[in-house]
Amino acid sequence: MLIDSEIVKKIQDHDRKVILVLYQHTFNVLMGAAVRYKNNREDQMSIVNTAFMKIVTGIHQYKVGTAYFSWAKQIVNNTIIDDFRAAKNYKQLFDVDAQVATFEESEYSAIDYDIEAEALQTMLNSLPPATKIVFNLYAIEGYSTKEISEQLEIGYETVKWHIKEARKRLRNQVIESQIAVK
Amino acid sequence: MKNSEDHIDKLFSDKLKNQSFDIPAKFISDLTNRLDAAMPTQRKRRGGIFFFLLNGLFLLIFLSLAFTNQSKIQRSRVGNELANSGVMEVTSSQQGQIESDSGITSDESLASVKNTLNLEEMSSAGKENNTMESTNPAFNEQQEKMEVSRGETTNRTARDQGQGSGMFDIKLLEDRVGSTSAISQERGNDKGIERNSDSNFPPDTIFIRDTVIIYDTLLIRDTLVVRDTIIQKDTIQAQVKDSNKWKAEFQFFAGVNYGAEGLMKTTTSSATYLLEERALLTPSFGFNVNAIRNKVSVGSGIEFFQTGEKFELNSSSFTQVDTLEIVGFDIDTVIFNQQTQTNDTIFIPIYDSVSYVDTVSSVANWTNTYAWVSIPLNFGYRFDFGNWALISRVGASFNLGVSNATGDYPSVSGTAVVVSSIAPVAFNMDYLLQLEIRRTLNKAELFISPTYRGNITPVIANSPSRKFQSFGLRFGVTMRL
Repeated sequence: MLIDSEIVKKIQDHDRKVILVLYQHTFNVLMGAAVRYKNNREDQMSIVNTAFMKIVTGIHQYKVGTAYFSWAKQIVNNTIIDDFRAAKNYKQLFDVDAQVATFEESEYSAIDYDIEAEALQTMLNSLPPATKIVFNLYAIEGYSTKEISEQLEIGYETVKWHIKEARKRLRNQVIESQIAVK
Repeated sequence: MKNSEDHIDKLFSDKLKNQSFDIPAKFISDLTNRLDAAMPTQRKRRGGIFFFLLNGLFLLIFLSLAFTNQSKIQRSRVGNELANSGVMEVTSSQQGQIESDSGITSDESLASVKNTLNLEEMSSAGKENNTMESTNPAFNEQQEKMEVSRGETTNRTARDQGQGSGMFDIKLLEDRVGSTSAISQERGNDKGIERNSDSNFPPDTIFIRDTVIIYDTLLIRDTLVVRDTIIQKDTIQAQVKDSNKWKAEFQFFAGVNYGAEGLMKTTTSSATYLLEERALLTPSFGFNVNAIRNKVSVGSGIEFFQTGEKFELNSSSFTQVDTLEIVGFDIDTVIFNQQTQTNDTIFIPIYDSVSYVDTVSSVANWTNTYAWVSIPLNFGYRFDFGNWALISRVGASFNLGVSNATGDYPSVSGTAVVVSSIAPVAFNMDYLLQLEIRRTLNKAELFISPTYRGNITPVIANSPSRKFQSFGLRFGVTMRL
C-alpha cells in the first residue's frame, strides 16, 4: 500500500474503508512496539489504537513520499513514552538506588542466536519497567542515550546504567536458557 | 565485553523488531468506537428508532384526531336529539350544571351534554348573577334546513317571577336570520311573558314557548328553561338518516416506496471487508374500494409493490511482503581525544526491515428486489376541512410473492466473505399506516398519501432474517360509486 496524496485525502475525508486498510497496513509496526512495552493485551490495544488515531488525525503532517513506517514508528514510540510519563512518580522508577539488586555478569559469554522471539520477549518482560523502556528505546528502536535522556527527562548516567543493567540481566537469562537446553 | 554487549542488543533487535501479528477482533471493535467518537460521519443503524418514532407519530395523529372528533360527534348527536325532542331545558345552579326536562333526563346521550357543552360560570361586576355561555353546533349545521316564519320567532320577552331585583338578558350573539332569532328578556317588563306555573321547576325558572332557533352562542344569565318546539324536525332526521347510509368509493393510486431494513445507510466492517446496505426506491400502484359510513371507512383492494435493498461489498485480501529500506543515516564522528574537535564525519545508512502488507481490494454491488401483490385491509377516519379532507388509516396487507427472484446475502466465514442466494417467503404480512390528504373537485377527489409500511412477518425467514420497512408517497384519484 503506497500512501499517496489520494489516500491521505480519503483519510482526511474519514473514508472508513481506507482507514481500516491503513490500520491493517500499519498494525505490525504498531503492535510490534506495543508488545515490547506492555505485557497485557488491553494495554497493548490501548497503545496501538491511540497511536493509530494519532496517525489518522495527524495524517496531514505526513509528507507523501517519505518512509511511512518510520513516521508511524516515531508516533507509536512517542505514544509509549507519553504513556510511561503519564504514570505518577515515573521518575522514581529510574532511581538506581531503588533497583533490587545489580546482577553479576555470567562468565559464560558465548551467545547462541537460535532463540525464539517469544522467549526473548519473556526475558524482556522480566525487566523492571524503567530498565525495559530504556533498553527498548536504545537497543531496538535505535535511540541514542542522549535522546532517551531528553525524552524521559532523566540523567544521562541513569540511562547508561539502565542499559548496562538490562544487558546484564538479559545476557544471564539467555545463557541460562542455553544451559537449560543443553 | 563490548562485543558481547553488541550481541545482546543485536539479538533482541533482530528477533523482536519485525514481528508479525494477527489483528484481534477486539482491536477492530475498539478502533471502530474511537473512530465513531472522533469522526461521527457514518451513521449507524438508527433506522429502527426512526421507524419506531414514525409509527408512533402516525398512531398519535390518528388517535388524537379521532378522539377530538369523537367529542364533536357526541355534541352533534345530542344536539340532534334535543332538536328532535322539541324540548330543551337549561337550568342553572350554583355549580353551573345543566339539567334536562324530566322527560329526557333518563336519556344517556342527553346526560352527556353536561360534559360536552361549554359552560362558564362568571360573576358579573357587583352582581351575583351567573353567566353561562353555550354553543350548540347541531343547530348551526341545520341552519339551511330550517324555515322559521318571522311571525313565529319574533322577539320574546319573559317575565321573571323570582327575585325582585337585577336584570338579565338572553341574547343571540350572532343573528343569522335577522330578527327572527333575537330573544330578549327584561326584568320589570311583563309584556308577553307567561309565568311558570309548573311547581316542579325552581323559582328562577322561565319558560319560553313556541319556536326558538338558537344559532351559535347563547348567553344566559341567571336561571333559564327553554321549552319549545323546533320545527323542521323531519328534515333534520332525514339528513341524519342519510349520513348513516353506507357509501362506496373507488381509488386508483400510484407512487413510490423508499426503504429496506432501514432508511439509513448501514455499514458493517471488519479488517477484511466493508459491507454497506442502502435503502431502495421502488414503485407501487393499485386500487382500493372503500365503504364509508359517516366518517368511518373500511377499504380493501389490490396493490403491486416492491421491496428490496442495495448492497456494496468491499473486500480486501492481504499479502505480507518483507522489504528493506534506508530510513535515515547515523553520523559517526571521529574526535581527537585531547582536542574536542570533529575531524571527520561518516554517514552510516540505517536499514529498516519492515513487512509491507500488499492489499488487493475488490468491490461488488448488487440489488435484491422482491415483488409482491398485496391485498390491503384498512380502517380510516375522515376529518373534513372545507374542500380539503384528512383521512388517517391503519391496516394490514397480505402479500403474495410474484417472482422467483432470490436475494444475495453476504456472510462471514473465517476471514472470507461468502455471498449466498436465499429465496424469499411466498407469503408475508405488513402493517400499514397512512395519512391521506384529499382535495375535493367536482366529481372526484385527488389525494396524496404518505404511507408507512413494515413487515409483520419476515421476507427472508431463515438467517439472515430480513424485515423491511418503507416510507412511501402515493398519488391518486377517488371517485364516488
